Amino acid sequence: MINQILLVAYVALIVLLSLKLRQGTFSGFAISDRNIAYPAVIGIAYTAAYFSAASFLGGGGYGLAAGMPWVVFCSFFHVAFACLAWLMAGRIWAMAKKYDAKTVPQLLEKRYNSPRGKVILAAIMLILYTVYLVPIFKGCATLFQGLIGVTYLQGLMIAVAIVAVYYAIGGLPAIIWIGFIQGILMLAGAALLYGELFSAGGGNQIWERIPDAVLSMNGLNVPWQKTLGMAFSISLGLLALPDLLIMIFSAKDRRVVRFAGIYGPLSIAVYAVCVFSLGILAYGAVSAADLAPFLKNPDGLVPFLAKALLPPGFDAVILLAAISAAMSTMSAIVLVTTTSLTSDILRYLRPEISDKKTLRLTRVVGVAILLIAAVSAVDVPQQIVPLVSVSMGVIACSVLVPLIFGLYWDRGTEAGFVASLLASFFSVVAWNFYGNPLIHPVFVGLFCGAAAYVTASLATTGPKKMRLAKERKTA
Amino acid sequence: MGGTNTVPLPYTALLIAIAAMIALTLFVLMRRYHD
Repeated sequence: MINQILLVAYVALIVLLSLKLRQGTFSGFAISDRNIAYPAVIGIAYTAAYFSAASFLGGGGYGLAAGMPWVVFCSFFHVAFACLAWLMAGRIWAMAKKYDAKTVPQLLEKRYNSPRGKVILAAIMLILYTVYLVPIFKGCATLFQGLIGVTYLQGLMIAVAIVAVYYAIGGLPAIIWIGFIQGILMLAGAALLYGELFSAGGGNQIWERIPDAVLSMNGLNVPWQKTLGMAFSISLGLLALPDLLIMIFSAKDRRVVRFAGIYGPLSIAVYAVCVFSLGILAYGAVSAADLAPFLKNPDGLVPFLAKALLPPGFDAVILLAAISAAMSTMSAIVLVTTTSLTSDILRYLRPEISDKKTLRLTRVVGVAILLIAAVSAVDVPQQIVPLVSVSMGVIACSVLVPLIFGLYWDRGTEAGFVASLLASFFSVVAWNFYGNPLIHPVFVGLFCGAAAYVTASLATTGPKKMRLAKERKTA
Repeated sequence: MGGTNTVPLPYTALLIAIAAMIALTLFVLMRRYHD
């Protein structure tokens, strides 16, 4: 009963907030009119949008199989990339403001003067983000099953309904403010479970109870090299995922972005250390026999620990935290996926469409994308982590190369932008199917994307620029 | 590690590295802010 009450209160808060933040213009809906003045809200909403249920469930449970390297590499890369992302955020915000970009494809279009590149990137985002939504829906529906005892299908329907309501009414402002509250809940849930494991394991004595093989940096059942590649590629999303970058776009001024850079990395660090450590700490707090079933199904570990260790009622908080993790990611993804279709692709094909019509379409298409992803989630494979990392990896590579070069290298051209998009996309997909599994496709995508970008940029404007520079020197 | 109840070396190193990265980020951000 307490679980149902908690859920009703949670949903009521979400609905009230989205009604309060309802939007009537496309700019308000897509980037909150760049008026968010609270650094903590942006910083923590960024963290909430990044971490999905896969991090809470898969990320928490995977340490059981991978051991200490998972904790060390995953936490390290997450914090490192979050720090880098927030160090670059000021420049990204300034560029988005200068070009009046409302989406990430628009930002890159204006930087490279390339409507063609914008459409290619928007198409990549549209397809792969929809794929990326499927496992998140699956995780969320499973969590609803655990929380209120509904069937998987009912869980899916509840998830769609809640996200659709706050997405369609409030747009990005609702996503950010609700994401902030969800982020606080996630941090509290992660810290609670982490603390409880220590307490169950006898404080610092927990390290004594954990077998040496688990604490070894050689890796337990997974080679450390594979864990390193996986951790790197998963964390890379922090630098370039469009659903995170729009949080930066929404800031009121550069000062807000700068201060958000305190809350972003700090919240990422707390959450990453707490969640990614759960798998190894479980060895010191729970008997090996109890853990055995979760070696095959790591996603079940966190709900099990919450039920086994926390007092009644508190396990619901953990499940609600995991549901929040899923929803904050889904809502931000739906927004960037839909605006890539309506504002980037559709407006490219039919520029005369009014803002009002684009807004209406953005609401309707967003709900349609949610429904498509939920229907696809009715029957998907069990494991969450690998599915997420491939689709997210392609998007991250496709945006990261043109974004970083676009920010810091003047000689990048349209040809470089388009070449990097195509090279990243095809190399990651091809490597995923035919490449050596020990080398993660994201490494290949980054390398091919950067090589294609530099080569095509130099080939198209190198001599002209050099000539201009020479002329300037002689003048 | 095994046999002692101290925090394992890789875990300690991780926590120190995280603290250092965040401190450095804050330092750079705030220095730019005062510029």
